[in-house]
Amino acid sequence: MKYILFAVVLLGSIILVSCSFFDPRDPADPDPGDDIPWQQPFAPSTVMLNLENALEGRFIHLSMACFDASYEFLADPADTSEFGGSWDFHDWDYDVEQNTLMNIFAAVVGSGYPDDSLISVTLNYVSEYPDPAAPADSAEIWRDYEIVIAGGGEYGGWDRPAVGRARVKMIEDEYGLWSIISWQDFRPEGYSGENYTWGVVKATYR
Amino acid sequence: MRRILITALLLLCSASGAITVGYDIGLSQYKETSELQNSISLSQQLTNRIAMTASASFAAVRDKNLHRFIDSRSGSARLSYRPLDMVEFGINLSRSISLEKRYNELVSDRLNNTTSGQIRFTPVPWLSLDMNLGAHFIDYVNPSGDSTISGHDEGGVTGVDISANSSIFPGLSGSVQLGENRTMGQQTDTGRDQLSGRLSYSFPSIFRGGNLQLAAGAARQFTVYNDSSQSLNQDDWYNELSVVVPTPFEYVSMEISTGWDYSKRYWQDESEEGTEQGDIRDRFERSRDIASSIRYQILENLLLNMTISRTIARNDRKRGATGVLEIFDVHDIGDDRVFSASLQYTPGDSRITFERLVHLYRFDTFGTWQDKWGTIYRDNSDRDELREVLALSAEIPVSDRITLEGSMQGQSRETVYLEPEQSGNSKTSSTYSINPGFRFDAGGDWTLRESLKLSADYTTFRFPGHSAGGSNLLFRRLITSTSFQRVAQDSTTLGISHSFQFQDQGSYANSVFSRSEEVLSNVITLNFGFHVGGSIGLTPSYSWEYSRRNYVASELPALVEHMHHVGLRTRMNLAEGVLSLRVTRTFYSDKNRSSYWRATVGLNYQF
Repeated sequence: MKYILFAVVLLGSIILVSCSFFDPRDPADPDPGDDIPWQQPFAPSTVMLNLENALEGRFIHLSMACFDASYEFLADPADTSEFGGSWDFHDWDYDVEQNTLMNIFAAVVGSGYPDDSLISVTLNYVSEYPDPAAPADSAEIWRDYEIVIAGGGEYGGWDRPAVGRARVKMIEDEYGLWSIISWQDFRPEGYSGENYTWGVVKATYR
Repeated sequence: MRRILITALLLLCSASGAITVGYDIGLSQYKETSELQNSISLSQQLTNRIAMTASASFAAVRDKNLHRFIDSRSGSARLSYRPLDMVEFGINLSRSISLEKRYNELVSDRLNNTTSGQIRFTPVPWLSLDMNLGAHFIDYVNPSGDSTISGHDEGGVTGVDISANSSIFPGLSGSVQLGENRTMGQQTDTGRDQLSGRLSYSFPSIFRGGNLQLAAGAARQFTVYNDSSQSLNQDDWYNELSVVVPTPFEYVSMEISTGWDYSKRYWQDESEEGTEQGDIRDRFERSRDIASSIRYQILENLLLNMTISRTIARNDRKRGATGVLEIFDVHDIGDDRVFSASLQYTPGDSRITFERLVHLYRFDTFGTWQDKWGTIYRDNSDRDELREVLALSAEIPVSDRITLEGSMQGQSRETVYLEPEQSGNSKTSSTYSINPGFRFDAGGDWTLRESLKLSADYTTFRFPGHSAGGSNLLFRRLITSTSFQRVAQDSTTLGISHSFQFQDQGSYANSVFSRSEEVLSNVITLNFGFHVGGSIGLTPSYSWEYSRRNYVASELPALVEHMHHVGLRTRMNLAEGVLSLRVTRTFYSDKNRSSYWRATVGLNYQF
């Protein structure tokens, strides 16, 4: 009796796993010319490169693939203090980031700029904080950034790009793939208020 | 202020009778960031009917690079009086201060005081009623540009909580919780009402172990902004039902559970009565799930566990568009299907486990939004993600001293983007790993451990001609670790350990592997642990670490780090407490890079 039951359970599970209940669907044929450079993120620096390309290409899911589900964005306290009455910087998690980026991607399309000039992202290495050569499990990397949101005017437009410094923390998953768990935003050295940070620019689209 | 408070508390303690005092201090530093945490707690039964508890904490974080300093302090005290066994009166006081500075300039300062009186009434053992009434005061300062915004808020605090927990008849028990809490103020009024219940029924003994659990609840919370016409509301409902099926066969147990959740958050604006489109921040989330698991003891040393579950979640959101006032409704539906099984065989002291997992996640989006130029947008991230795992792990003692450890795993992760804008990125990653090792008990608490892990991840694209990643990718990794150490119960360590890692990656097509990057990492650690007396363990250590990332397919210079770590860690068991210390100083061989400290000190003491 015991072995019959075992055989029934085993057979049932094999049938269950082999049936279409666990089959993925077929994709549509891809649109030509819609590609951006993308690499499997086996290193933290690749994640930043992917993020640059995904934002410039306005690919929301590829942008969000750079972030872990536990991601949080921490604006510069000086920004939250100065602009906290106008914009909301609190509880900036993965969902908020996704909504905000979708709002930005939708807004730039109506700016009238050419398709290849809607978003420009430049992430530069910070010489005082070189990337770790072979990080294990987690890594902290720094970038000085300049980000343009076409039609953003004083908030990140071509004349006034967002400028600042980011301390980005990443973790490595069990497959060796890296993703961002936090982006801590800082005003640049010698901040004059002429160019706002990425946190302030993003908050206007939240 | 803090020292005065702590001293006063300690003096008060020492002047009284039975008392419990706990003290924790922690200090840590990593590179340019240092943190200090300090807390004390005290409780004392002053008489048979009067009791007092108090606690205070202080935390500070200083980041020299960012020129930032955060200071937060909090304290609370409670005095309770129990004139009768069924009645307790209490007074609660709490105070918190938080302050943040950047470049020595204040960016925020907040003070919060709350005082309340409380009555706890327990007329019968299964029923309790808590009521509290009090007031709160908040002061804050937020510099904003050239001006400073300061404010004050105060108001009443009220709360009622009722809980009943009873056995209704043999086998059936239930509980009910009801709560209503309010914090009123000049700027905001907040509140939360909640009602929840749980029923548990154990089937009669002839049904061999079956039982049923039912839980349901609802909550409503709100924040009313008195300086505007807006209010934020959230309604939550949930239900859970689980049944442990009366044992259908000997050695088999089975559980089935199901439930649903409902959470609606919405903003209301009294000045916009009659408009139904809602607010861009509104969300409405619903989910329902069903799961079944079987545990089957096939033989005395052979156990099978199987679980199958499905969760469907729908998220409704609002979306705005450039130049239009209309707010659009969109939603997405996620469908999570999981099958997992494990077969565990435990002959003697050995353990062999076989695991199988199939997990499919389907995600579909619905709805569009349109800007003032007539362009229609929609979310195109519809996708299916399938993950399959097949794994075998074993731990087999081959003699009294040698234990073999090992695992093998194959995984496949397939991501299919359904829409044409994204489908070019559809891909499948296959990961294979093998991880053999052994443990040798050399006697005298000395252990030799050796492990090796080899893994390869191969990623192929569904539409190679369209994939943004170019060609198929291969990622390989090798990790070895060896240690010969003696570790005492207090973690004092004597011995040597070594780890080595090599990984590379690149494109793999037509049997040609074109490497783009490789990483090498090597760490050797020497621990010189010894004991001073019976209770103090000291472990000085030295590590040499070398790591290198070569960009073999480009002209980029290699990233090289060559470091020396010198450390000391100790753990001392004091009479009623523990003092631990861990300090590491790291030096770079590159003279242009400055060395740094990593240090943690902790003391936990019960007086």
